[in-house]
Amino acid sequence: MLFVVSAGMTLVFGRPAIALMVLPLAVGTALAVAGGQGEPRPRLRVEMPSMAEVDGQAAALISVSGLEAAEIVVLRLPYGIGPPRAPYVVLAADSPDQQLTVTVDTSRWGMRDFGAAGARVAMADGLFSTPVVIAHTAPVRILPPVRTVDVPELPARSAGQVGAHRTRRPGDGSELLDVREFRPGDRVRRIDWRVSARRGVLHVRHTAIDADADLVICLDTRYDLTSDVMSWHDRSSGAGQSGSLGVAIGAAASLAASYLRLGDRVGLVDLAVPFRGVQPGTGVRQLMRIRWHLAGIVPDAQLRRRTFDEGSVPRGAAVVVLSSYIDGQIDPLVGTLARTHRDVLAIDVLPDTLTMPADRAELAAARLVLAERADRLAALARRGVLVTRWDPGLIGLLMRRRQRLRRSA
Amino acid sequence: MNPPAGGRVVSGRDMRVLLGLGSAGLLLAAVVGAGYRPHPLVIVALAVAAVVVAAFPASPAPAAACVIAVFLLLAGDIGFTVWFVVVAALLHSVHALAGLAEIIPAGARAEAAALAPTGRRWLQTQAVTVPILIVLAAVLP
Repeated sequence: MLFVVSAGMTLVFGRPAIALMVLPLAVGTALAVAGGQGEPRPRLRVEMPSMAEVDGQAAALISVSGLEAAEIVVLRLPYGIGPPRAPYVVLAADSPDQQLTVTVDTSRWGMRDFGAAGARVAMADGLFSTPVVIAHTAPVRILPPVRTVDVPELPARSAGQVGAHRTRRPGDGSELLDVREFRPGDRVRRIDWRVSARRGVLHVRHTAIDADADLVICLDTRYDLTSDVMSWHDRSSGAGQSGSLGVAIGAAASLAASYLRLGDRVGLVDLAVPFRGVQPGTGVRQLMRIRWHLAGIVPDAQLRRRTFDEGSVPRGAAVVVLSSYIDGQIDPLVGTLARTHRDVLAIDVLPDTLTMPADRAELAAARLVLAERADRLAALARRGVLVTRWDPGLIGLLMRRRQRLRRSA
Repeated sequence: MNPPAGGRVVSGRDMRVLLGLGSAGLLLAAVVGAGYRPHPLVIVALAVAAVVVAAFPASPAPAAACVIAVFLLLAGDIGFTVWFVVVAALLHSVHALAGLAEIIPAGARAEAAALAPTGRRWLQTQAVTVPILIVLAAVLP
């Protein structure tokens, strides 16, 4: 435009000085335009890690290709990728393909969608540029953190003959029950030769079978409630990691890790969507399986709780129910578990301090809901369910105390 | 790991500051070169114009600043002087910087190497045109 204006002014005013004044500009533009051969066709690709540990190291690989004749690549990084507060990166297009590795924000766990990346290529001092090309990023599953909880041993299952727990059932195990005289039918390898030599009669070692212990963690994923009671109207809004579901997921991961470390079998049941659970299992891979599942949970109030399948909870398993206990739907479930299973632990994950509404009518309604909830938890405690808040330091103490009371009873 | 990992980095804001300074210098050189005595209000107006150019490099503001500078210099009718050469060089600088600032967002971190071709071309152009303009300034009335 400047050239046209200057040419017009030169002609109109008859002043060659105008043309001379824009001479550097004209030469510079001519050099810039002459330098570029071909037309860049940028292609953008973003490779995200499929999963990452919370607060761990994770990197995304961004590739831009088709940069022939390009000079400058302007990249718009997705939110949460790369340095904070600097989403734009400008690179020299000195080769047809450019790759760069950028850090991924892993400060929050869960399914993280970082949005899209964009790229624009320019040449000739920015006189020419391509349209913005966009590449969407795949969501990254950031696993919830694991806190070590000092938990007591679980009671062994009544079935099975392998595991790390002692039972009182006689059989082929490692725990010595007594030493008695040899009877027909006893295995020869059970003979205790030292005792037999001392007594002069054959004696055999009589042992109890070993068994494993199962823990099933039931997670109520229907609600994600914040400390602000007024926000409870919107059941579908996720409160993030500070809400009740965030606490429940963190608690589930920590309990699973603690019991898997003891060698127990741990499973997970999603009360809103039972088929989304994890079958009981042991080992490090099982912990990864559970954390993988937990990271993918999002609250969905549209999902109605289906009939709870008791078959998914092995007989003799200890059960932990993590819920905000805000409605009565959970009552029959926990009641049934309390009848059929010996150890049921109800963990209340509602935030400790609640912000009550200012309006009198709403305040009365909120108090009513909370009073019903308190009654519900008290009724569960009367049924023999251990009811507690999520406190990693307290859970172990309460469970041990209950085990002592049971033994003394 | 985060780009640009190594080398010098220029931010988009730095480029806008440079563009603002360049356009302020261009207008001031045109006013002074044309022989006007710059009134304080004129200085303020030039500063405002420079800020507008720096803030909106993708708008017609940089081109308008260049046209105004040309008009101011020619209105003074000073012929081919040193000021003429200075204004011509600044005109080219503002034009190049505005083109880059239009592409590079304010919050961007740019590799210095990405700006190198533009810088190289600017130097080449100045190396060719400044002697021509100086010779013309000496030869022409």
